[in-house]
Amino acid sequence: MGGSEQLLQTSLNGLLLGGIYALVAAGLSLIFGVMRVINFAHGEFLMLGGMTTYWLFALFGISPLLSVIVVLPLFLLLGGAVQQTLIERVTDAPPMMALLLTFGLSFFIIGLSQALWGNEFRSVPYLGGSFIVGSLQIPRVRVIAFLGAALLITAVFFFLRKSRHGKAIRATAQHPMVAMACGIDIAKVRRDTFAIGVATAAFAGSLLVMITAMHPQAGQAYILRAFATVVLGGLGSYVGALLGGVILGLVEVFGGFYASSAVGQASAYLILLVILLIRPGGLVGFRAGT
Amino acid sequence: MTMRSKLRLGALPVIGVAAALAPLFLAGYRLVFFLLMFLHVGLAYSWNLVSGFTGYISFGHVAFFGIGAYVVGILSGIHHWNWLIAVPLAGALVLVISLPLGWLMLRLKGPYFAIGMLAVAQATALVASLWDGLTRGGLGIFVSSSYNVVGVYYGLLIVLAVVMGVTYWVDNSRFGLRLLSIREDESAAEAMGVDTTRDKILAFALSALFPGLIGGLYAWYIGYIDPRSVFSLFFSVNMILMTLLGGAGTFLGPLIGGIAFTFVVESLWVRFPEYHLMSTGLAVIVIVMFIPNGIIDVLKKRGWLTHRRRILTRLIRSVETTPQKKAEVPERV
Repeated sequence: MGGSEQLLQTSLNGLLLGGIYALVAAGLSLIFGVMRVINFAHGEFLMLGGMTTYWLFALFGISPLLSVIVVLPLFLLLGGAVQQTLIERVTDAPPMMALLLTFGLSFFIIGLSQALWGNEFRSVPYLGGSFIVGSLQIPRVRVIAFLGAALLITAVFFFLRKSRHGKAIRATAQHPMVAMACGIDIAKVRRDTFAIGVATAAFAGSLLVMITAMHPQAGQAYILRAFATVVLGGLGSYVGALLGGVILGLVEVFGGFYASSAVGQASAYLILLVILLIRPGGLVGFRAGT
Repeated sequence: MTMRSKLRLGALPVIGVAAALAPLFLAGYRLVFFLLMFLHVGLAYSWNLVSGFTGYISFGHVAFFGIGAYVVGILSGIHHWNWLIAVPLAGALVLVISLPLGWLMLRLKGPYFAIGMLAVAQATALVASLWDGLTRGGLGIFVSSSYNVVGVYYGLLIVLAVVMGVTYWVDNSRFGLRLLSIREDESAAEAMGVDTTRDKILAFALSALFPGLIGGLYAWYIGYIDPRSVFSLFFSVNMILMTLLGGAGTFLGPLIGGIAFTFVVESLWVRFPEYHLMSTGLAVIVIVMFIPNGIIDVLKKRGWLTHRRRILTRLIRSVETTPQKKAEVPERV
């Protein structure tokens, strides 16, 4: 395989991975945009989504592609319930309280998963083999996962742009007080936004469990990746999150391939720290702390 | 000063003397129990110095603990230096690192700082596992083969006494009030002439030094370290949990929280380790939702503790003795 083909293959791998990161980050960014809360338990919802898909497959033989029919509504409900019972109650408290709350929630979910399922690594062996295009090998399962992520990203995008309810969410993100004055029930918007964010994370987990193994602590790696992604794209920006996801996917894959796998792993932290330090508000627009 | 507060503060040196004599009477697990209590309380006090007083929540304080542990691991475990030299050096190195790190990180605000610190901790752990030449990577380091409980007990007692002293000073000084003003409203504090950058970095460095020392002592106590154990996010969570439980930004909060935490850990969680993480998370949630200002605040509201910081009492008295300059002094800060 020649150098340029290698480059192409690596870029493609990065792009396919980046699509899923984009989905994870888009949910995180959406929640932040509306609620000004960083959902620290985002990675744990991702892990739970993956675990749900795994158990549906292991116990009932349900194909991971079908399990989304369960995962999406289930986590919409779960997300809404978590927001109503926990996060909504600290809306008026100092902003760091909500962060600490989701921090505690993330450890609670990890611990609960460990108690329920132990620390084993679990994955769903599904769709082996690759598409061969010229000299490029594209694992089929990664293509499916990428398409799944792209589909949900697009669906949420059009929901936010076109639907009445999506417009209410965007209005609340822009200016909660004015949105409220226009008759928008912003408490309901907060609930639904959190539900959508959680569901997208869980969906990403269902896709990832086909590619890599899940275990109770797997979410920890994704929260930092997701945070690096939204910082790249600007916190609160939906489209920025997509761009950030693709960039992070490319950097990880290239770093892993041309330097070492450790550099690949570390690239999320490095990107995160470098960008925070150069542009404390993210690459696109958003000002930190406001 | 009221009779009651005199009694309360007078009790601390008495407890200190009792703690210093304890190894003469206690041995085995009983001594280890107090050793672990000092470790927990000391870590809670450290975290409280920056996150409690300035409101800059750090999710990555374990980085300093881990670096301290590794300094002692490398110096004493690999190069056989005396731990009495290695531990202070661990503190010194962490202090030196914390100044530029604080300068960089404290430009971040709110959640950015919290997660930036988490990334720092994860990156430090990665360095510890990748830099085999220095740290022996994932193999870990055998720091000591002997059982060093009494030495470490005294080491932790001294560190605890110092960090409590520092916190007492902060809690009753203009420096502490400036830190609290940063927590309440940083822009307003700046507008009032507080050099917020300098004060934040100083608080950050103080708050990093002690975990460095404690981490070094921990490495000497536990005898074997590897990146997973000393950079475990658990240490960061526990610091947060203990401080919130007792009351963040107060003098007695970390003490109460740390002691309560140690009793719960040692009596319940060691028997059911599989529920440890879950209950830690649940505890953080419950505290944030129901007693966000900690046990201290509950005690104050019931009138069992005085409301006012002593520095405010002093300031009020100085205002009262000079009637021309009467000023409004808030009841509670």
